[in-house]
Amino acid sequence: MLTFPQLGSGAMAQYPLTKFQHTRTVTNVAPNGSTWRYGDIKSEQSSWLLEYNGLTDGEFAMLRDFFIACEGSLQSFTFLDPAGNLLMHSENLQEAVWSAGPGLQIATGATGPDGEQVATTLSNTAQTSQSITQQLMIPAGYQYCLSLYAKCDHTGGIRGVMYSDTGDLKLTPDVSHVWRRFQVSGRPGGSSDGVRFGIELGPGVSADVFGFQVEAQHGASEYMKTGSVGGVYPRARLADDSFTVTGEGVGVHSVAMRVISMKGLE
Amino acid sequence: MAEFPRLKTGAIAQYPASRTESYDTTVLRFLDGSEQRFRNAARPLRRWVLRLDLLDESELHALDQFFVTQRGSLDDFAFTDPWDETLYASCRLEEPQFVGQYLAERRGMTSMTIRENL
Repeated sequence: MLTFPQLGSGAMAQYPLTKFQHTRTVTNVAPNGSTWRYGDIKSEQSSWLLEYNGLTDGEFAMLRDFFIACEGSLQSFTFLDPAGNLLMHSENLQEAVWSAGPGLQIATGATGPDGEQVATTLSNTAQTSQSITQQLMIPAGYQYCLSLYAKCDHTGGIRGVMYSDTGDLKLTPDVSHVWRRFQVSGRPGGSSDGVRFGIELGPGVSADVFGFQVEAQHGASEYMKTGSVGGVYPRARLADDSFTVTGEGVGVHSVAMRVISMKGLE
Repeated sequence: MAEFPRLKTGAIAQYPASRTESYDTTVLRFLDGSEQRFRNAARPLRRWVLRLDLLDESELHALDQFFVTQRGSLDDFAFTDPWDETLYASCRLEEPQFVGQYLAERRGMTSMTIRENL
């Protein structure tokens, strides 16, 4: 499965980045001015304008090779939203997209870092470490950053984790009884698609957690809440059949690409 | 009913923003030069154009998701007039398209138009 390439810097896009959301609503207006509106849900789409400047020869070749592999707008690919949180249900760990160990108890309604009751309390009642993770069908060789807010009285009691079929990344953050945001950044490794992101709790450990976020980049952006739709678009396409490069100098290139994802095809 | 999201500061809008109040009058002109006028709506309706130039990623994402949840101009929501804090219970987004521009780290912008329903 093709995936939109990541630059050598570990970023999916450069600034400025423009994201579009398109909808279609049919409106009937009655003589008295009242309206009936109908949504054409299948025509809804998300699109991105990606403008790259200062590309090296290798980065330009990578984007061009991707364009050739896609045959322009013909083939679909997986696109990782550079402006979004790749996870689904980032605040509801009881949703089916999250896989929790059998000894892990999940309770909602804890007070989060902003004072609202949006955090989740995780309690490990087992004798071994238990984890809660979400799997995304994305390349294990890409650069990712997992971030979340955590509060825990057990020093070393929780670890942020990324698992792939051949490797894993783990980080034990410096947690305390006050809310702190920590992040795990790196490349899980491996050649297949499929990476699990989440946290591990040590035996007997309880922690309050909030705001899980995964991004295809080095560092964490501001937290972005997600619901049933995350930032992984499995059937995106290039919007254009043409690929234009501008030579800015020796070994310096600029390219603009448009990616589109139709809601009815997701 | 959904409500238009506030920014982290608690504000609904940033400067510049504009508000328009409009009547809907139909004018019939006759051959003798006389005319007849009648209103299509009982009261003026408001329309707000919000230009939000100083947003961070989470605020811009929240507006993006609000647009998606509302399905563009399909669904109604409540909107608080930033001028006088009056709550207008039935409004909708005017445009079928949302454009979010991520200009730099923690700096994004967008523009949204809200229309009061009859």
